[in-house]
Amino acid sequence: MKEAAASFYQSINPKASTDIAERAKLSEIDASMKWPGLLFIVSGVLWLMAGTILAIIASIKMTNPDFLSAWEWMTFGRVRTAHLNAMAFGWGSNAVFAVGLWIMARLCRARIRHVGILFIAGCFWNIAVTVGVIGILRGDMLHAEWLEMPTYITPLIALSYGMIGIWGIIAFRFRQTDYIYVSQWYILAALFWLPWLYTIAQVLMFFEPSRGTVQSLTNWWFAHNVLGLWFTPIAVAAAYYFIPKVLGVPIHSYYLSVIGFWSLALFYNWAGVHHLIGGPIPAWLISAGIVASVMMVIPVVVTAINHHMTVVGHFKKVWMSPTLRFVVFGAVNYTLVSLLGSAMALRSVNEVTHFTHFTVGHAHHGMYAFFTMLMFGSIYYIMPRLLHREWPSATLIRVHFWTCAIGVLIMIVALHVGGWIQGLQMNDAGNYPDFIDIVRNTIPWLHARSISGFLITIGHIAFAINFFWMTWLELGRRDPEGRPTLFISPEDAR
Amino acid sequence: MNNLPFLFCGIFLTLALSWVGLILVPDLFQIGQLDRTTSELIRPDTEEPIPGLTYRDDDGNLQYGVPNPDEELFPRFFGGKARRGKEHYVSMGCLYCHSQQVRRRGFGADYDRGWGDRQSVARDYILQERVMLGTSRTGPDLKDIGSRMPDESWHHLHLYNPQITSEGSNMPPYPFLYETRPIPDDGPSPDALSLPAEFAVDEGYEVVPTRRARELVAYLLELRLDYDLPEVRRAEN
Amino acid sequence: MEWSNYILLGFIGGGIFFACAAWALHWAVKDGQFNNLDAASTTIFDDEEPEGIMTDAFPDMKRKQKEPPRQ
Repeated sequence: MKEAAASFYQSINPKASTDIAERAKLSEIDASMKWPGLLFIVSGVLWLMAGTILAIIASIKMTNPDFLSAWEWMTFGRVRTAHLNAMAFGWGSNAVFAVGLWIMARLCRARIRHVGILFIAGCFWNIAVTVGVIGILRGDMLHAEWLEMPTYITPLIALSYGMIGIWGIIAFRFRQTDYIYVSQWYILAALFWLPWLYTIAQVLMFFEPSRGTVQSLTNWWFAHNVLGLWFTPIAVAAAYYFIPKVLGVPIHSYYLSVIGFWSLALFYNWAGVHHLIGGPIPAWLISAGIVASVMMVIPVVVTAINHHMTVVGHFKKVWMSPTLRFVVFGAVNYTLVSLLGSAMALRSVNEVTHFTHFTVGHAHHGMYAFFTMLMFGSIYYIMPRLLHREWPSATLIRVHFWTCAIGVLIMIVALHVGGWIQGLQMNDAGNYPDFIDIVRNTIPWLHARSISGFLITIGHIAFAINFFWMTWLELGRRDPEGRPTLFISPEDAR
Repeated sequence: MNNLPFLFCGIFLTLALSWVGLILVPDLFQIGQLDRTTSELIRPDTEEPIPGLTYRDDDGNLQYGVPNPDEELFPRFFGGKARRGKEHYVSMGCLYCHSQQVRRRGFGADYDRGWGDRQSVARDYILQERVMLGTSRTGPDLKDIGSRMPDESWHHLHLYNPQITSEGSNMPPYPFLYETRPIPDDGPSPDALSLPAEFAVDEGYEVVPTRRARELVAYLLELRLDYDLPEVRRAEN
Repeated sequence: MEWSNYILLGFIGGGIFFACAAWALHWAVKDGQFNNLDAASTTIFDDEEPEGIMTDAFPDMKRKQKEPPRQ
């Protein structure tokens, strides 16, 4: 027993380790990530489908409130919230675990240790999220946006996260490279930031509720940071990895990426207060939030230069690669959504956009057009390497890309334009004294949003068919030599 | 940037800084210091009422006023029924379409729409264990709904089916908060909803609010900004 | 507290923060944390997936691209 404990300790601490770790080959790392990677991606895709169904129901309810209205579990407030949590903690976080840990291990040239523990922790994470989402639907949800999953799953979420995130940090300690790559900073930072954000938010919101509107501050400190310090860093890390990796050229400027990382770390976590502009909190906090939101222009522009300048001159290759199509689409939208977000924090703009569907459009712009599209791209690259198998259908990938890209663009335009009009009318009590008229005027835009939702659903179905075809039906072409690089082998590319 | 401690310090400090700034400082020094108070403060030495929160004493130093011990303290505590109603407000997800904050006059049109006679301030929320400022106004603000719509039966009709009171609204109906039952032998219940003809239920049946509906409406009726605070007074008109 | 005290407090806090930041930057540069940054940008490539090689493409598009030179 003592020996077992000692050897376990050695296996997670490079200083205590006696065997000299070897620099692992990329194919060995891919092999070590096979089962946990598959678990996270498979459950992520299942959550994506569940979240999509909930989204469609919620979207129809916005225009046809009588749809499914007699069933308490399906009332709008719950379906919408279940959609958000299924997407953020089911799809998004599972994708983050798969992509983040895979990139981290590859860049460290170190296998992920104890994949068994990682796998079990992954199962518990998904059990926790399932219980949480069902809890929301049956009415146990909490009052804080992005934190609605009931408190009885908080310990399980925290514990299983700890047992997942730790392996990324341990892989980092066992790294066998002389230099650290940009993506590693982002992933490492995200792995540290999330547990801290989550713990503080849970304690100050539910277990020891803080006084009055400090709760609202805590709520938006968490909710904006879970985007900015959890999903964003992983997606940015994926863009930093896949753009140069697929193109086969180094990133445009490594110096810029240092500035980008530290300015993001410094400014993003102050920005959440812009959700409370005009609200009952001290004015200096709102000003600080606005300043930080505007300062976000620095990391965004720096990252944009780096990503886009690497791509310039290689557009044909972007078109040829399934991965890069999605990744570059996501990277371009990162630039757009962030600059728009900075503008939305200005008081005069916020006065119009606050409380409208504009914000909803902005959230989907960030979480879908940027984050989700980047995760799709990453999964298209990772899956063939985990399974040594090609994607069965290139056509389905194209369908996936076009329906999702066009769908989300329609959604963004509809909600931004509709939301802006809604905001102008809400602020014009003289010409629009009856609130109900404003509500009626938003309905056509909400119909457009439902249409975009159907398009996106088609894309997700195409993706899911291709994915499960590849995973379970084994109809995908196997690479006869089991080479790590699929889709295109080095000989073909020369 | 090649070692873990260096990276970790940066990662830790950046987040710590925002936590201290955005949460700890306001909690310790500003919002956390707020207490219930009377509409007007008095000087503790002379017991004269003062405008606002502070006054200059005879030596010209800035001093805080104190609550007048003879007057009612605000904000008020909610009754038990309303507190249970708030749980239903959370569980139905009302907050995703309704905010509970009134912005100052001139910023947005909250005041012009009659959503409150004054802006809401941090002190209005200090007794709430669950603060729901809200970020969406798909429906109107509810901070002062109890003053605006004091009629209980209006709320029941509106919750049972919003089309009865606000045609064209996209608010979901909550029929599961109401019970459709045969009219008892001793006559219709006094709480039964008086439904207009096109929404009427079958002959011999009536629609009555369940306990949850009554609690939810009790909560909505207690959402009122009908008091003054030393830092903000209602507009006089 | 009077408002001027808050300003003073802000200046002191800001001063300490910037002093720490300057010290950290000075230390990091002296310690070589920023040396050889560009070398790090090539660590994503290795023998299995070398620099200059595109590692992902639609099979049909790739064939269209590459067939003529092969003949």
